[in-house]
Amino acid sequence: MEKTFDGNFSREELENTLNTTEQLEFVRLTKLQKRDASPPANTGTFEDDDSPDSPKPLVLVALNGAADLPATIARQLTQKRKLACQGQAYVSGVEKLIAIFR
Amino acid sequence: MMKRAQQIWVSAALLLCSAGCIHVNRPPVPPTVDTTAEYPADEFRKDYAAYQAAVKNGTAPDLQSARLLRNQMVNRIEVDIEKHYREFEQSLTSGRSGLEVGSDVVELGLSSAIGVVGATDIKDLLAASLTGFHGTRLSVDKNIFREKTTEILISQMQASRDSVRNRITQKISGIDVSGYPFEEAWRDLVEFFYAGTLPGALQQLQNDAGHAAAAARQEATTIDVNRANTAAEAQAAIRIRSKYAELARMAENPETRDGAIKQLQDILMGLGDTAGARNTAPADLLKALRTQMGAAASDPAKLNLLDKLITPAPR
Repeated sequence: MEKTFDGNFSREELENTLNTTEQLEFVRLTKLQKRDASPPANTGTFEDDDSPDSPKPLVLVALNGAADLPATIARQLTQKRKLACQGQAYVSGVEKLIAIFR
Repeated sequence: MMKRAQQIWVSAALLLCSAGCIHVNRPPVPPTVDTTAEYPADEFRKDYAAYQAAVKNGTAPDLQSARLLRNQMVNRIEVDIEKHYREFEQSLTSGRSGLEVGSDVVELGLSSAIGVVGATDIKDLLAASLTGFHGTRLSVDKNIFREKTTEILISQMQASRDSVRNRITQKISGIDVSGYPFEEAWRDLVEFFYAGTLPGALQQLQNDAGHAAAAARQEATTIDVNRANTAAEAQAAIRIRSKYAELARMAENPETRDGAIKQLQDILMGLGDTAGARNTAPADLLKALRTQMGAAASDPAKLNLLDKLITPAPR
């Protein structure tokens, strides 16, 4: 399933909203990317999650550029989080590279 | 001083006249374009009668002849509309620019006259005239042209006309008289004519602006999630999902199944889902709870209530 989220959400708001969606709608985020059409919005792609167990919460990290990604992945690994997906997305209305961990 | 003011007025008038007399808008119209395009009304009536007779006869050759007549009438009317439209477009461009130049000249003349006239009463009179003239100019711009430039109006008229003309051309070249009778073409020709008028252009501009606004509103409504969840709601969602997992495990175990059923029924009853709560099979109860959880994702009140229902009250 695909769902669009307001591109003006802050990083925290987007993270909370994605987590709420995953937990309550029994889906798992596989991709998040900015939508081309106006107004700014992000399209989240989810796959069905039939397991009754609660998925590990998502953590969104806004990067300064692709060069930041390896170090960010390494930092998140120390907290036992793996990269779920990454993509260009709107955060507070501004396009950024977002890495999503769980 | 009065003589000087008169000189300024005369100069202004001469400038205005000369601006109106200079032909800078188009080359001379060739006589074949200027005189051959008329489709007299009596000739049209004759053609229309012949067309109706051919349609009435209904034989294949008659229908073919009716089609040719229809196309001929449509094309001749189109040429007349085109010719008159071009003349109108020319006069709109030159007339409005002439009006603008003339107005500028008058305003400049009045402003200069105010500067050089010494008598206070004449100065006041000129100043009042200038204010009145300026107001009139603004009013014409606002009420007749709706503050749109000539270029925008002409561009809109051309776009609207092209759209109707293409429709007519497609129909007469591809559809016979039974599918596109002359009367329908006639209606399209009337639309073609009015597409090339100022009210038609202003209306279309208004419609386009309205459609753009509606499209923007439509775009805004296509965002599925416009409200962000709070951190507290995200935490509550995790608790609810964990409780669901716990109830699902309990339902699988024969020793705890009844307890799971009771809890699920209580939660659903607490949410007002009496139909869901009437279920006795754990799978049906869990399915009903999943539906309620999905609804709670976008309903903060329901999410809060669900969180309270799954959280054991402090003893």
